[in-house]
Amino acid sequence: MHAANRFRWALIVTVLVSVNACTNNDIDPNGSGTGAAPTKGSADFTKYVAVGNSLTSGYADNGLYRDSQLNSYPNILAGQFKTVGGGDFIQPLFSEAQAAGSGYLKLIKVPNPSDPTSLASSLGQVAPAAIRGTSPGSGGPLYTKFTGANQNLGVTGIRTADILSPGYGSSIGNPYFERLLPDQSSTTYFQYASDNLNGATFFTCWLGNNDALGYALGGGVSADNLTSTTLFTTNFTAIMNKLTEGGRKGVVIGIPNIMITPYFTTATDQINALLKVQGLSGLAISSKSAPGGVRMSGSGDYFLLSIASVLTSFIAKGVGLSASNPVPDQYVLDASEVTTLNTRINEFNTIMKTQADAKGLVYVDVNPIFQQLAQTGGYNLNGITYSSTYIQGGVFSLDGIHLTPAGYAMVANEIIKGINAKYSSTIPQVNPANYRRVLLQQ
Amino acid sequence: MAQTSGRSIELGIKGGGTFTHGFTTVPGQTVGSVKIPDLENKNNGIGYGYSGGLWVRKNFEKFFIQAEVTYNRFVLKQKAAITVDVNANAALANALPVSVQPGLLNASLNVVSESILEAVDVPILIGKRWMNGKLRGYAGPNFIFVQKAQANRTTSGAINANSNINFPQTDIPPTTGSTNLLNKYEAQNLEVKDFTYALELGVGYTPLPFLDVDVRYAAPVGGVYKDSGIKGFLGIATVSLGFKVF
Repeated sequence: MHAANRFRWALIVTVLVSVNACTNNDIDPNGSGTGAAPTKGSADFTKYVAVGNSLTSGYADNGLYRDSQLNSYPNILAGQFKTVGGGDFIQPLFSEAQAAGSGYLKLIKVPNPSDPTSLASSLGQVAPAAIRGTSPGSGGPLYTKFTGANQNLGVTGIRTADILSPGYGSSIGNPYFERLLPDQSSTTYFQYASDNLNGATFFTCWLGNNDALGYALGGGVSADNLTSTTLFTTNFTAIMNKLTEGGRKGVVIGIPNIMITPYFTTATDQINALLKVQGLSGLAISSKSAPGGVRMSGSGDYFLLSIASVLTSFIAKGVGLSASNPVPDQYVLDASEVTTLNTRINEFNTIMKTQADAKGLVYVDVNPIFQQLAQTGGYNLNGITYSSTYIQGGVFSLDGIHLTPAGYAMVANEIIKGINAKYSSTIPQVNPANYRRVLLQQ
Repeated sequence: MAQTSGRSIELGIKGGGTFTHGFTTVPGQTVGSVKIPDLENKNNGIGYGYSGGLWVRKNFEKFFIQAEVTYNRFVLKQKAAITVDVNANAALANALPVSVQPGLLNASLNVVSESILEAVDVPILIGKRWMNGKLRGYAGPNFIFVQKAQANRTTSGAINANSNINFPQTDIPPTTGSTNLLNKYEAQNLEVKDFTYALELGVGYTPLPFLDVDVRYAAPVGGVYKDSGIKGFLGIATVSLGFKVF
């Protein structure tokens, strides 16, 4: 009887302990969910190299600085690749002592959404900290050199058209490339990329944006700022062949629709709202396609964000209020220029996707998510609503073109989705909520 | 011993209500570069729950031992007022349209919480009878196997103005949220132990041979939170009716 009693008590306690042990409360609600170990699939992430332009370098807020570099999408990706055997990822970081790098814009006040002129006074400039000299050509800054192996080959401003050009990284060339090369080097970007691909097992390539962006940022003033499809094809083919040598796997990222970015939408929306209040149908704008070079602005025309800094003086001088005093062409991308721009971007994307498909690479189109950001209601993720709205949307940085850390995290996730689908891997995505949006600071 | 029916072993069922009160002080911590001050969670009234289960009593000549297995729901009502940097509260920081450098904006928050803890309790009590067996007094340990621990909070208040950055005072509408206090990722430093123990004492009266009326008070001296830095007091009173099956 005593033995039987002890057995009953033991049974009760055992059941209780078992019930407790079966309750799994150690799952991270923001984690990848399954708890299963990530797998690399058919790809090898041992050494990852990123090829690209400013978006790849982490450029943000009209500057390249240490914090922006640390939040580049390649660096975010490399962190996730580590879960499937990826190694360290070396970036050409500005030192902590020169963390401000090229200098950058900062948000110092909350702007008044109904007052376009408040934008300019809401922004401050962080002084550059990594200037080592002056370019004998442009008179612009030369930045502190980075030497040694590099895995983030993103160069601010580079076009696909530039990658085979000797001297592009000289002291009279692109200062962001110049800082990666020895003095007076004539090394091309193609050669620099080739040198740094040694031992690389995986790559991403996000080129092409600047082959169209220069034209758009300049208000479509010069068609010379659009790279020809012939040159684009030649150079892109060359870099693709190099990147895929030995069957190396990787990702090609397409050019997004830049017309949804705040650089083109912010001033446009604000000016059109002001015009509506004033009962005006539009402003007189310079337009090469218009008879006499001047016409009234309409719904298909975009005022560039660059107009914000001169808007107060424009209003004072009555700029745009008469055909004899139109808004200068460089502040407007008119409807015909938008058509020209988008046509060329589509051509570039077709070239890139065709080559990516032919080589068995991942092709990532970020337009669906960009489009979602531009829609009313934006994109809700983990309790945060992101949109393409300037400053408050959380995705685009203060220059209105490049991304915030949260925006770069979203791009990284789109790339991870593409990799997982193509190479049967299970790399976990990141939570964009863990990355900052535009930072209000003093 | 007339009311004990003379049996050496008695067994029955029981049920009743739980009445919980308490206060806690959560020590200050650092989230990133943001310092969160001590959080004083004050008592906000009595929380009502329930208790039900089985009991078995072994009677000896001068004392008895009683063991029980009960399922219990304890509700702890608390309130706190705190002023913190907006970055100390992820939900608050995420609700702002921009990220904010620590030190620029703080929020004055009023937090009303209701923490619900459901547990299987196994008290082992030793006691003595008086008044011809009608009155019992007892004490002993209570082993608590926590099945569910959830905090439901309603937060309201305001983000305080900062004219330097052109930020106006902004009311925070009452928002509710719940946290699984057994999940270390959700609960963080408020993670609750899944097993603890209490010291329990009580008195019982047996007005009828088959009916027990008991009043108890327990304090979980084994601690509720995994973070030993969280100090305070938690008391649980239970009023129950027991029915003797045999």
